[in-house]
Amino acid sequence: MTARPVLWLAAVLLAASCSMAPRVVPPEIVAATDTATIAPPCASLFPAGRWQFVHSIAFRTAQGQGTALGVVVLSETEIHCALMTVEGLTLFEARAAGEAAPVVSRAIPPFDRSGFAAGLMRDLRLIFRPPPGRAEAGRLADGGPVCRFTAAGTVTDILPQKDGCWTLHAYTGRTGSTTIQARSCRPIASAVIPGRLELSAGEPDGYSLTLQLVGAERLPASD
Amino acid sequence: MRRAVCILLLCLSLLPFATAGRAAEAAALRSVQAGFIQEKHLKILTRPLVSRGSFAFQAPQSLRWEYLVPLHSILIMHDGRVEKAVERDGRFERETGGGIDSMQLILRDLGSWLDGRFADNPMFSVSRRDARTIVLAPRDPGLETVISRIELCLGREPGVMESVTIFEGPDAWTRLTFTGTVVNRDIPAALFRLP
Repeated sequence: MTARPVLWLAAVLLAASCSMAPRVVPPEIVAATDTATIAPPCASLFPAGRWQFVHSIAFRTAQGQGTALGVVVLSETEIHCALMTVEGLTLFEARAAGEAAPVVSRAIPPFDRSGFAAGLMRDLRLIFRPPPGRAEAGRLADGGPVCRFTAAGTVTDILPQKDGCWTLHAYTGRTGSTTIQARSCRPIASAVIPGRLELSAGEPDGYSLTLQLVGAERLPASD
Repeated sequence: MRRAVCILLLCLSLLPFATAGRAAEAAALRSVQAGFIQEKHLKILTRPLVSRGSFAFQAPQSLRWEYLVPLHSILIMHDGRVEKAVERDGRFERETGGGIDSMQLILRDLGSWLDGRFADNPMFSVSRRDARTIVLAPRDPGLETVISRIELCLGREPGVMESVTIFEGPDAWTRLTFTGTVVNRDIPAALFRLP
């Protein structure tokens, strides 16, 4: 990986900044349904227990594109991640328990910049963890089912698909939005794992990440 | 990051010499081709992340470094240029952007490495652990935070290198093990162009 694409990767994974972008509003739920019935299946779309995932990560911004490899290890309470170049150089490694600030064990500049680790963990939580907050369920105007999780400052909609995949829309504050599309989902170790994840963060700091699954492994329950 | 990229390219640039083996053989080196298996070891990984690929080097400064799995990517250094492409959704896309200048700096050292003159490069001190192991250690403490050392394991047969191991820290290293090394076979020029 050359230096500038790495800079872009760092930049796009930074937390979305404040902007003059138009306000983004979650769509209205037109038909509420039994939350107790719908919301738990939505949460079950995310892997439970201990897992290790390896993805190739393609990133795009208005300035360019690049590639990296990512490792994520999930436990019930913690996310541990590493980024490396295709050639094997470790660029970044950190872990975070719950919503706590990440503890960084390795960060080659520019990955040592303020906000990078937190922004990366935010995206990883969106991808791998059930959203926090009060759950409700229903249908949108197009008739599709939705699970909505409302927490302080964030509304997260999950739109489950018939094939076991899902689409996630996260609305943060007035203008921030992130969409994740899970595709090519298949059963692995009693879970349904996306073969491809497409993350798109809204303007003005728009960026996209495409995570192609290289390997998924269910790990033993204990450390 | 620029420094890290330089070091990474340094490691790649060392490989033509490394696979060619000792300086006496390297002096007459025209080309090297080999396959490789790359094992990335990290504490976070339950088992190494394995990549496979091949490379081709032709004197004085042409290199094709290609990964086939898990991600198909090709790095080309030729005619003073450095280019990289990655296969996405069935077609190759060039990695855009700069940073290429740092690669060219590394390439300028390639000639001396091919002659077995590792000590010419001030970035690393060179020592021999034994008859078959060369150890390159960064002189700059700053570099040491990125790569702590590089170990080159010479093969039993002249002109063949068994492996190169790049240590980033006590729990992180990358080992390249070479297979099917072919020396001084003509390489088509097209091999040093991106698809």
